[in-house]
Amino acid sequence: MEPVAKRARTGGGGGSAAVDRLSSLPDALLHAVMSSLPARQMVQTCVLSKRWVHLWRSVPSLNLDSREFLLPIYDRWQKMEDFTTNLLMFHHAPTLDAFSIRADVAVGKHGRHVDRWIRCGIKYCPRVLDIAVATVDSRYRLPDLASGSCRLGRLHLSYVALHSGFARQVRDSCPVLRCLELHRCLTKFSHIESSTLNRLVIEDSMGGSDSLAISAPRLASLRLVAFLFHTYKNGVSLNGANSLVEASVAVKSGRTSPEGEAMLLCGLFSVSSLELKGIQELAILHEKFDKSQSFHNLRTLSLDNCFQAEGDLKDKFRALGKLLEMCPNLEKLTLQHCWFLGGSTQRAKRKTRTSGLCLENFSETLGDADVDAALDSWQPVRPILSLQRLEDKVTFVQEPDELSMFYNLKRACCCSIASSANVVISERLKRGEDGETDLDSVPDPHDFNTSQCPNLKVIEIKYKLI
Amino acid sequence: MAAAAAEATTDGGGKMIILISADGKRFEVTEAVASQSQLISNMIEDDCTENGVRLPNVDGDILTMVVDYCNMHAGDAAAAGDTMKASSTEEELKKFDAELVQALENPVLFKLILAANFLNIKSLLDMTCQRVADMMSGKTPEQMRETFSIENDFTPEEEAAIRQENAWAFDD
Repeated sequence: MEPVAKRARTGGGGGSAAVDRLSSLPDALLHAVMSSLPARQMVQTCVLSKRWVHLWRSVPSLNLDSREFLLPIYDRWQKMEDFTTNLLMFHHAPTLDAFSIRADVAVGKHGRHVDRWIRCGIKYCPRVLDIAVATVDSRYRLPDLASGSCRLGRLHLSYVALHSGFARQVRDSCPVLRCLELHRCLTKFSHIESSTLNRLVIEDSMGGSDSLAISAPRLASLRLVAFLFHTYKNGVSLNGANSLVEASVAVKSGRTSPEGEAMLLCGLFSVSSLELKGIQELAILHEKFDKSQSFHNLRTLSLDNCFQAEGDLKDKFRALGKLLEMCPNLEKLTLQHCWFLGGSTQRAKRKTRTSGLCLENFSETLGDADVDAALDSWQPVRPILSLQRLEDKVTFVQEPDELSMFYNLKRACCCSIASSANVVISERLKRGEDGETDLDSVPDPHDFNTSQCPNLKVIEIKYKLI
Repeated sequence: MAAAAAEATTDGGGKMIILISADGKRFEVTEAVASQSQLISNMIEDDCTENGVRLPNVDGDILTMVVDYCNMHAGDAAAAGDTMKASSTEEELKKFDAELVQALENPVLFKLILAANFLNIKSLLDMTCQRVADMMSGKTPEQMRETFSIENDFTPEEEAAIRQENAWAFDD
């Protein structure tokens, strides 16, 4: 860190002989710097000095943002329109690397302005196109990009309406598209097809179709968040996506059919890292998932808010067991907010929702002595975890304040490591026979295959008290 | 090849090469670390790193920072197979980058930009250019001049004319 000390000595800044190192940079580097500025500020650099007068005209990236115009909402649009028209008229880079439009004040009739800007922008065949137009009334509908998408590598759209023509465009007119991100768009298509797509993000689609089919043989990364309404309630299918490396899937519990979720899970078999949120146990236990290929590459699995629906506790454990059985090379498992692990305030509500698992029930069935026993019985799990060569052991992100929680945690652990810790489970079962009254909900060790997950090194259990 | 000015990580494996700064300081690094520089990567491919790589445009103190950066980021590619390792170092990397970039100011920042550009290390170049943009962002032209010691070489009439010509970008 010696250079930092030197800087302190020489770079006081205010000295009379301060050198203008910024303006001395070559044009290409100044363009790289200016590419990150919002458009209006980029143009304003023209008055800095003679060196800067024309630099902005050939900056290869334009970032239009309505937030740059700090005016009352109705004046703001007019100002932005005037600015953008001038900018696009005087700016003359040969091609654009990136073109982005962020407008949060539009109403439907402004759509034609945005259309015009986009048409201007895509004439330069940008590599990156980022459009977020949030209209207060009708949705802004993305125009046909035509040949403007020939160099497009990354397309990021927010709040816009995309009709079936969009899917056609992606398939036929985007020869180098690698990354497609759709955030809160109105999606009217049910099929995405691309031979080049590497990363696909679809978050909170609305008004969409009941199902989505993805055909992208080079897809490596998929993020799918279906939390709103009943979008894709019949599931999402991935065709031939054996290139998939990482996936993150979030569904709203109970909004998607178990069959639909099972179908989606089946498509993810090739991933090495998987995050599942809101998946229900019935999806994993569904016969459709029986036909899934085994997740041979999977090393890191995270389950967040899964198995939350009303149902038999035994099914939940069986689902986890079955899932782990299909992941023979798993190294790290994270269980986050699964099975109502935490919580004290919403107990009453929970009590009505789950049968065997809710904490309230536990406390009721356990006397003080049982609680002590619970604490004791938690202890044996620790050495077992080390038997498993669990380097980091189990990590608790927050220490529980409910003793009975240990039961749930212990169970989760035992199920997860059921593999070579078969002995453990039996021992635990014995303990259960001693004093616990909820044997019905304890999983049968024979539900678990003894050879599953021999590489599992870390189990992380995260929960918060709501 | 006597005293290397900075200790190099040898655990990454691979051949070592010597980088020589403008003021003659020597840095011993693995090929994996050095080849984050597209310039050096090309030289390694062409087999012309035998007698050390002279970098006449880069001072020793700047090269120290560049080598630190490359050592830190060399794990990126190597650890890609080991997902757990990658995720644990990802945080550290972010912290390292954030601290590095926050500490940067005139004139080291600009020397580092030029070095990253010359050595062709895209991630470092992007990061340092972004830092300059962040320093410009939200400032009026007058404030920018002050921050970067930009001399206003316009006459008042000239400046008024430029502002007039581009009035659409100025008046609120």
